[in-house]
Amino acid sequence: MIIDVHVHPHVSRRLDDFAELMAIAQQFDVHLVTYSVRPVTAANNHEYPSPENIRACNDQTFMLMQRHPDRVHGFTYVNPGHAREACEELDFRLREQHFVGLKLWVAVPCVDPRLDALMEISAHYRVPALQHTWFKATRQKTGESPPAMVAALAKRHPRTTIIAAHAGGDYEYGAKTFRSCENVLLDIGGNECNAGYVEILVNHVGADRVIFGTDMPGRSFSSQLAKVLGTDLSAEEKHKILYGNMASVLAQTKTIGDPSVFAAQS
Amino acid sequence: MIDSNAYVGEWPFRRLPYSQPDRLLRKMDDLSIEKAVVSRLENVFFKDLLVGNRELHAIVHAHADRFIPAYTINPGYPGWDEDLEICLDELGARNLRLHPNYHGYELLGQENLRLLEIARERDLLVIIAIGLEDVRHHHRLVVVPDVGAGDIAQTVNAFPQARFLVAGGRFGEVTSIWRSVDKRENLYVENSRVQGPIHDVAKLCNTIGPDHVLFGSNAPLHYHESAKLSIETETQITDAEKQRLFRENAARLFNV
Repeated sequence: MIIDVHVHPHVSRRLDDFAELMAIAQQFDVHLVTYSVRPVTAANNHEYPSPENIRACNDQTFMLMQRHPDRVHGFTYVNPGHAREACEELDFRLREQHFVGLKLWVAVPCVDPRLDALMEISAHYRVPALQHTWFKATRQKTGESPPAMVAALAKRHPRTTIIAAHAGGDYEYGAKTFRSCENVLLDIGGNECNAGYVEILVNHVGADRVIFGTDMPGRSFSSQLAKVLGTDLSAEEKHKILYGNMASVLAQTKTIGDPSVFAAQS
Repeated sequence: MIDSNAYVGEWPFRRLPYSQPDRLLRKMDDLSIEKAVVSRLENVFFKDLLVGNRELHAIVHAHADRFIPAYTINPGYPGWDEDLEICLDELGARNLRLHPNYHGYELLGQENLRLLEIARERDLLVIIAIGLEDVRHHHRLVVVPDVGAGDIAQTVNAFPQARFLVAGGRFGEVTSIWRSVDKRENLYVENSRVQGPIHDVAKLCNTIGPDHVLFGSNAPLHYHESAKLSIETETQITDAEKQRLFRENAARLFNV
């Protein structure tokens, strides 16, 4: 059993394409933590999406959760730039629709004070907040948060569990940045499978704070799974990364429909 | 199983778990990889590549049943042609590796055209390394973008009778090269940095054909398991096609 904490549903522009991801989930026995950042019918990702666009994304995620309740667990995508709508959207999806987390991408840098209310809502429902973060040798996207900003956010909101997507992008930089941030988990999805990647994270933050993600469909499942299977970590450490750490987080949320799904196996 | 794209040696920016031959061989044993095509990793940054090539020759000589050498040539550096002669005559080179981006020359520049003419005449396999690691992760003082797919396609088109293996290309890069090349009989790609999208191996086989795609690890820079698992777990190709990717295509190309 595996939990993949980083899955986007838009294989192409047809929602039916999600069947390909479900087939992979069944092949490898995976729970898919899913969030749309682009409505299936949209031509492009909008990096500063409107409230309507956000609702369309979350409606699609919710439809997938309803279709595949045993496999798909939704995170609510919001744009903190639309502060009131973002809070309402997050609260509604958590309270009414069993979403189990918050997804933040590049609409605003995560040091923006408009994130504070979102962090408080996440803490109230005990759901994690996944923040895209990438430290690049090349050019950053506008609004993209480097790991230092995520660390600052985590220190400002110690009651909120924050997931640093892509382990900070440059995972060595991320490992050092998040070493003392006890409420930050590092998601290994999305970058190339550099040898030593996961060992470096474990050396700096410990196996209890590293979690498995893929960034499918842009990345293949196998290339990301290799980051864990290719290590010389113990079987117990690999299990924590692939399943146990995230299962504990999801089982503790107040919003999950059936917490025993994870509690029983974690 | 034959790994068509690997290195032995150290990397300036981090420790690599399988950089040394004995550790690499143990890892190959664990994964049932019978042979690997290897170059000297230090030759990405060395100026005098003959030093690294002689070291590679000694390593391969000690494990001739496991390693197939690919000697690195930098046609942008003085004396490359004399070094090439030494690689051919003394070291017995049959495979050459090029790093146009790290070594800073144009694939279609005069010196490289001269090198490729020799490769064609002598029937040498030319491995063009598009990239080694995600450029976003590079050291900030050594940011080396991938070799342009268009440049590689033009180069292959200019030498339709020469044999090429494009190594370390991502999915979009290798499929773009394939589509832009007119005569593809002598063009091959490997899958080490093809790490998406989902079903990437099946998509490669559909676009390029299962006779021109090889298993390659990019070890020790990458975990071997990525390229291996990507082929092993692909549900949209047959076992016979997997066998071609894992072994048969490389056996033919490297004369094993």
